[in-house]
Amino acid sequence: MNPVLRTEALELHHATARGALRAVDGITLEIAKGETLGLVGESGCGKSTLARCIVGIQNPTGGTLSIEGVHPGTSRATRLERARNVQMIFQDPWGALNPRLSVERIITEPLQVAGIGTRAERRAAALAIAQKVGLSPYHLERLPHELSGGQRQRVSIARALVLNPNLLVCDEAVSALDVSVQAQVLNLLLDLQKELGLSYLFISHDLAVVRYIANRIAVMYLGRIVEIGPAEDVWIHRLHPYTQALINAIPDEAARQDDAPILEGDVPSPVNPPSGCPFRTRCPIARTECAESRPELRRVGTHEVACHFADAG
Amino acid sequence: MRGALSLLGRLARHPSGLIGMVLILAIVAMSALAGILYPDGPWTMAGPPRLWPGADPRFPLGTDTFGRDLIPALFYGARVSLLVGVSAAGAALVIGTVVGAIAGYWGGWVDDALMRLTDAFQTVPNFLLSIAIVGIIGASLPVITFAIAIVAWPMIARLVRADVLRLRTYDFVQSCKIIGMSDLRIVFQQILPNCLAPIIVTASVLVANSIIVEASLAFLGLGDPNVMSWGTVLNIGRQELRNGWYLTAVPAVALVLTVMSLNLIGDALNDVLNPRLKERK
Repeated sequence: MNPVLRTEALELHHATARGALRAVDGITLEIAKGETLGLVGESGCGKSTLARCIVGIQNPTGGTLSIEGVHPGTSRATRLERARNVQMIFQDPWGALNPRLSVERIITEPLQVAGIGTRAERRAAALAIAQKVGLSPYHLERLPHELSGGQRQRVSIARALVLNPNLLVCDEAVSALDVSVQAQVLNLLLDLQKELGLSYLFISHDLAVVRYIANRIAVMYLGRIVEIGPAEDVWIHRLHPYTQALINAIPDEAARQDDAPILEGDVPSPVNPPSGCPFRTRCPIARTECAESRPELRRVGTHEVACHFADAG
Repeated sequence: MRGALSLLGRLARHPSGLIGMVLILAIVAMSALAGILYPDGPWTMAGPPRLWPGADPRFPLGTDTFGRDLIPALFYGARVSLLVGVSAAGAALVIGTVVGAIAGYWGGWVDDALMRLTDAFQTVPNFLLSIAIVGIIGASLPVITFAIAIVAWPMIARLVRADVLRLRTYDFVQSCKIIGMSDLRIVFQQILPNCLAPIIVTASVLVANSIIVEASLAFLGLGDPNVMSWGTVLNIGRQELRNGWYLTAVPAVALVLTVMSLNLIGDALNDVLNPRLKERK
């Protein structure tokens, strides 16, 4: 079966005065139908930029992107076409809804822009989708500021789902919510996935959340994927020193491995990344080879890792 | 429509908003009734010249150097002041909003070009530019309105641009792009309604400002010679300042009250439209 999303060597370089800023630097990945790919990494590693390329807010400068086997262009018609396949949920539930529009208007807007249905049909669609995401009919009359954070996020989800997309990009979709509300929204996403056969690209800096919801995990560093594989495998047999450090940074004793490194310093500048392995400047096991050649993703056991010295042992 | 009515209602419950609205309604009534109460127009010589206010019960506010009654002059002057004030402010608002929204949303060289143009207008002293335009093209109401609007729009443009710059990064705008909404619709339907509050507040100040500029031009003798404006009376009074200061004082009081009422409304709008102060019913 064709994957819902496939990227190959996807690149987004911004031209800056000091040279190219490599926000996304050669990402190759696939998401199958009904699958959730969790994408983790520190802020500034290019997660959100990748998401913006996939939904079409930004145009990649290199590589290929295909959604349902189609390479989306940039014209208005292909934007509308892409909108029916990919939608996005944002982090900040307060900024993601136009404060002056009613919830019904917010949910029906994608249909209206796509020219689908009459007013009454769109209203019926809004009612149906609102029910699916756990909103009551009276919520449709409300303005966003009359809703709680969790309810707003449900409105965002309803708006994203009203066009029946196959892929939902969730950019830190639960990070701004209270922990109890987080769990509700995560479970809603899981239920909707089961019911509608959705695929998710679930972006988060919160590894515990990603482990809970994702089938596979991809770890991103400085615009590249450094480790990717089945979720539990990556969690338990983490091979890349960066993955080890990330998981070790979770304040939870059970997850910690005593010999794992603690991350120090900041992500290097993507304008002038380190030679060889981009992680070597913060890596505890870096050797001279790491500065000379860049490790490519290679298969180790059940997953793939980009490190010269990571092995199944 | 319902929103505009509820805005008026909230304005009426605000103390300075109420005073401002009563005053401005009185001035609107004056200009509406001018033709009915004084069908002869403001130019007729009705009595002896240089009559002080109160000297003759037929002319409670006195007469000017040509024996023209000052009350019709005030009534007809209100017409000109409001007409020029509202239309100049309206034109400035439209130009400024469009320029600011385009510059803020599209950014890049479009923004650079439009903002340099705005800078160019702002570096020239406003009133001098207005005088120059009226002086060169000629004094008629459309030219005066144009001369006022052309110097007022840069302020609106900067205001709108700043707000659009802030709003365009919001996720709801990104979401509209994702669903394939056209840029024009995003700017005018999604973003602009969200920066309406500062625009409305500035508009009331802009009307007041335009009225002052019009009166100043007329005071300098650059008013439309075919219409009686408060500035026209001021211009006549200037020559009589030593022995007939009431000729200056009467239209000046009318101007002060009008401008003050608009500023009061502006203040009230600022409070009423501020969402942090807004009480929900």
